[in-house]
Amino acid sequence: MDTGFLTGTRAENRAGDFMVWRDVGYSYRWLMAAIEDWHTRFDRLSLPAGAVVMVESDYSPSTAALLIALLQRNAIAAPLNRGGPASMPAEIAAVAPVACHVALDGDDHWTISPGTVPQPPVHPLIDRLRSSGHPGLLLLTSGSSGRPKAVLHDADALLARFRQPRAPMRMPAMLVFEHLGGLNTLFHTLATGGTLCVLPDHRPDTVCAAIARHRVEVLPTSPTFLQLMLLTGAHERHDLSPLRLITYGSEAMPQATLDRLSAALPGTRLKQTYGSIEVGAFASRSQARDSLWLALDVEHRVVDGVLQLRTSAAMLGYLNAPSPFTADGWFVTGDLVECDGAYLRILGRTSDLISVGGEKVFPQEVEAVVQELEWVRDVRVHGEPNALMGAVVCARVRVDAPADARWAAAEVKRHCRARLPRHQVPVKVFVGTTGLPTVRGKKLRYVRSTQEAGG
Amino acid sequence: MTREAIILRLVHEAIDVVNEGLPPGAALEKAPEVTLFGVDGRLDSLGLVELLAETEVRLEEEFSVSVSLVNDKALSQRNSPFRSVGSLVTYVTDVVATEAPVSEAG
Repeated sequence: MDTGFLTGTRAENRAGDFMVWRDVGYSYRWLMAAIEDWHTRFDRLSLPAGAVVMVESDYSPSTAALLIALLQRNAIAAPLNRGGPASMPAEIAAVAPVACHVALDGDDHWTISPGTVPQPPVHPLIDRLRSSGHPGLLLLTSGSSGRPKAVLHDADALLARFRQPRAPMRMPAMLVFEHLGGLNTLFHTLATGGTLCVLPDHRPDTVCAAIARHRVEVLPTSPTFLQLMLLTGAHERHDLSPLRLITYGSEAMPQATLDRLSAALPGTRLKQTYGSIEVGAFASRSQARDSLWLALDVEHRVVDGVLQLRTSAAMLGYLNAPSPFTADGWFVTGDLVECDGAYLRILGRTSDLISVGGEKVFPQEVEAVVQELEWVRDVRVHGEPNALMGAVVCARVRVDAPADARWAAAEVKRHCRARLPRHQVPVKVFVGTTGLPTVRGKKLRYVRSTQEAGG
Repeated sequence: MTREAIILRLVHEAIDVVNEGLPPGAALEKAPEVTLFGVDGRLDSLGLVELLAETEVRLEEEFSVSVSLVNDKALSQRNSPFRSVGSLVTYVTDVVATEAPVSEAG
């Protein structure tokens, strides 16, 4: 695959930094040389086109060079987060014949080891990708509803949208490396000839300090981070004037958080993004900076309230799960949406929907209302089976300081009663100071912590 | 305090929470004969579910037992355990006795 669009084809970009890592800048020229070094190593191993290469790492200069080298060789890269669950390499090895495993440590030193044996039979989708002569990306879903699904992308199709020239942008690496959102940030920054700033951690003060210091212009992040930033007041302690755009996605944004953000950063554009590991990310537009309605720049339709998309960037398919495509090629997202002309509002996942005596409850709507209470740090709403109603609504609320759990639970109920129809009010509210569960960065709604107090 | 007295107190606390969500004048009195659910019941399904849920979380705190008070067995009894405050307290006491032997949690 021709990756010129990722390596600074414009002559004036060559001297510019593609990445700031541990406060040191690495130029596009450095990147080109590092890519050649990877080719030398792989040539020695006679790594063929179409080979599956596991990459266990995190954002780093050598990792970026490695991924581009694999694209150039038309290999299939399977990126995994260093320090992620130990079972992940086995998940990849179970669905694809891994030719070699490249691990990069925290100092960006690499080791290459042979793939695992025995190898699984070659999946027909891998065969199809190989015969097309295109490189691939093999990613795992977050597995919040069971075993992770293995997603195979034709990388040429997935990255095609980055071939259009855009103005260089400076972005921090905020999203998990192995997720499509993280890879998207990396490839998007490279395609603009911009600079990716890798941060030592994602605490609000670290991120806000980096925005001021590195003149970061775009912050691609999650509602959870933005909420934490507002709660800790980090945005008031640093100069965020370079920041032109904040994009948020991957989970529901509570309207209360969006309103607070909009008031706190009046000079910054706010945009909701929509995408998924299966179809990639695409252009979107929020109706207004404080609006959760968005327009999608991709062919879409709504069937029975569920969003379906059709795009050439969509994955080839899952290697270990049934196809989520309709016979005529639409990807069924599983997201329930509301429509208003050209605009959509995401209501929640069909799988998260709670049916209370036949009435539908979207956990996100209830969470958004609970979040209106200023002392609530985080909240998860889930359904609990109930013999009388089918299911009832339960909420687990995280607070910062230990409080009277009974009082806090009663306050949550009082607030919800005032704002929501009765069947949506949580019947059980658990309050605690411990973190609420996530799976690889995604909210998890079904596990109950044993350390929470009831109320 | 006997276990039954503790359970009575917990059910009364649960009634306080449910009452907050009821329209003015519809609040439940904390008396054994007050009808809850069924013929002439003062609560609808959602109200009963909330009362039972509030009772369950309190039982968990007090006796460290995780119980589900609404189940098919309870719903199919000829004399519904949910018909009055008194029958509910008796039912909850029975459930807790099964789940947590007195010597441990009395």
